[in-house]
Amino acid sequence: MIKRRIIFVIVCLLATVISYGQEQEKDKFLITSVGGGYSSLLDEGISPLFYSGAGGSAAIGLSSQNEKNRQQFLVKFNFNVLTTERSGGEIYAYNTSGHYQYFFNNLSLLSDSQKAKLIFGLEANFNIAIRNHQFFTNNALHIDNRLALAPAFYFEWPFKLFNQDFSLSSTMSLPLLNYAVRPLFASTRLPSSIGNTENNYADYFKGGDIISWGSYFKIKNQLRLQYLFKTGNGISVDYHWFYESYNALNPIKAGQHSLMISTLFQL
Amino acid sequence: MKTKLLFVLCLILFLSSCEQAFIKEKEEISNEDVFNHLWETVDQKYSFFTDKDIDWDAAYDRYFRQARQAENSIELADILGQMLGELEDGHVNISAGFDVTRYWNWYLDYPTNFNFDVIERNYLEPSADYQISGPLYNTIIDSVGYIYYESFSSSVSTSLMDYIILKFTAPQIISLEDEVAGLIIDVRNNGGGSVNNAFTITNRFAAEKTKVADWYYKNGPDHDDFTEAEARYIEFEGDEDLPFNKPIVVLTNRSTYSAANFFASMMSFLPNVTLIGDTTGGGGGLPINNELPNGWRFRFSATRTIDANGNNIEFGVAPDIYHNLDSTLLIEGRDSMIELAIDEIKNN
Repeated sequence: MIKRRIIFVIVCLLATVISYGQEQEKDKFLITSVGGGYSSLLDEGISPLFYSGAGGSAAIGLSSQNEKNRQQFLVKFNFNVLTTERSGGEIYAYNTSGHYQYFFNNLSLLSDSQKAKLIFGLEANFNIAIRNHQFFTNNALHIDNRLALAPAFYFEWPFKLFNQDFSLSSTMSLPLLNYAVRPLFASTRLPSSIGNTENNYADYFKGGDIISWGSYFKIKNQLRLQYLFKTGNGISVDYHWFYESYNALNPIKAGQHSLMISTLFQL
Repeated sequence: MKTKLLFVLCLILFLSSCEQAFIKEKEEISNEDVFNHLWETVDQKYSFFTDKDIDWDAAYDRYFRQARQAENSIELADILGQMLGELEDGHVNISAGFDVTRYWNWYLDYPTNFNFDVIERNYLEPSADYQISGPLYNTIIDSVGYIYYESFSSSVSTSLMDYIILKFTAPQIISLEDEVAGLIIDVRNNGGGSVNNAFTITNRFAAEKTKVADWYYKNGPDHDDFTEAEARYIEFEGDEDLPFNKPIVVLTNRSTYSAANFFASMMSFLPNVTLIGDTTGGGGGLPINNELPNGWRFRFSATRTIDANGNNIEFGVAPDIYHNLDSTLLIEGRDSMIELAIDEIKNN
């Protein structure tokens, strides 16, 4: 069982890192983004109270496309201060997420004659959430990790505005096969840390559960309004959103919205 | 075509804003909601039901109706506090803003055995060697080193411990012509704090790696759902050129609690350590915090600690030599526990 979980983790990580850019890309961009966002959290491992609050976001990534496929690799960091009026509690929430998306141009759900594109693909993603409750003592710091494989859809609609070419795109994924590492039922210790005095980074992803729809649901979307300059570089406004619900021993529901301004440098 | 695009866009916008519909908390919180959350969380996460043979279902029956009928917050907090009192655990409280419910019988039912005023006026201030090094009040009493540590909430570093040992072993720093005969570490009335500080001090005196306890973490909702044992060790940390192998006496009373209780337990595994005083107050589970639906906070023990001899330290650590303060000597400004400790060190 442990062996299978470790193999799953390795496959996810390899899929995210290695498979990027294996083919010759026609358009390849370096993406950098900054912005702000709003997070919501109801984590019964921390509190029965609903916490929410604003914060900042930054992201860096690569995207590319050619005749056969379209790929994106993005790492995003968020910091939010979550509060609840009911207790006056405050949680500093640090979230690092990343995804690698691969869309198959030949798996189009719209006919080639149409201007808009709706194509099917796959996504491998990770999410590391660190939540620090400011008023708790021995159980202040919660670390909550996910790895996932998801079917994904890419929709693109090019349009003209003031005689300029814009495109509106949306990338949506629904994680199907997930690996979740939550703190122990009544502690902030992660399962693999028990009896292990020298933890390394891999230990933060050990001892979790493989889950799917039924006990776990997540939907993730990135909406992008993009404008490319004649130089080939571009700018975009991105709206990232996700909602997650995991019916674990300590159930958790979380949502996050980020509005970001991005620059796209052609490579 | 346009209809399809419009549909897709609408779907995206709808999905992008609807998560608030799924993440909700109840707007109106009843006494019943508060009671049920508290009872259930404690039922599933508290760690000493089996050790203490507590019938928590009976507590539900006893207090539920009272809680439901409570007419105001003060009455409700009082009833919930009474229910938590059944756990007989000093780590269990509700902080309701206007009050903190508490169970303090673990020391109120016993002799005080401590008077800092007497120590300060008769042992510390009159001494030329008296220093307050970080949180450690220290001096030399009758050629024996003395440290009073008031709270494990105040951080102690290995370098501070090195300094204390240097002070007690280097005649050029102190009024003695030779190093001290031994050391008294007084943790009476020390209500705890961070266990890390307990390890820092204990490690400074550990000559070799020694297993001191097994820790068990609650990992499921049943009363006996615990992780496998996590062995805890002490091992020397500090300046290896400054070992301290002389006799050490740790002074304890019933108000020695939580991290101080861990400290007394760990020190008892060192061969040159003697515990003198009263059994410590206990507090052998690490307390964790939670919140109630109405915004009150509460905490409770969520781990078990069994020392390397198989004793559950929730019930305190027994001294090697029981001793209650002599009240007649106390009136004269003498602490009989310190004096017994000095005799013990010198006779060894």
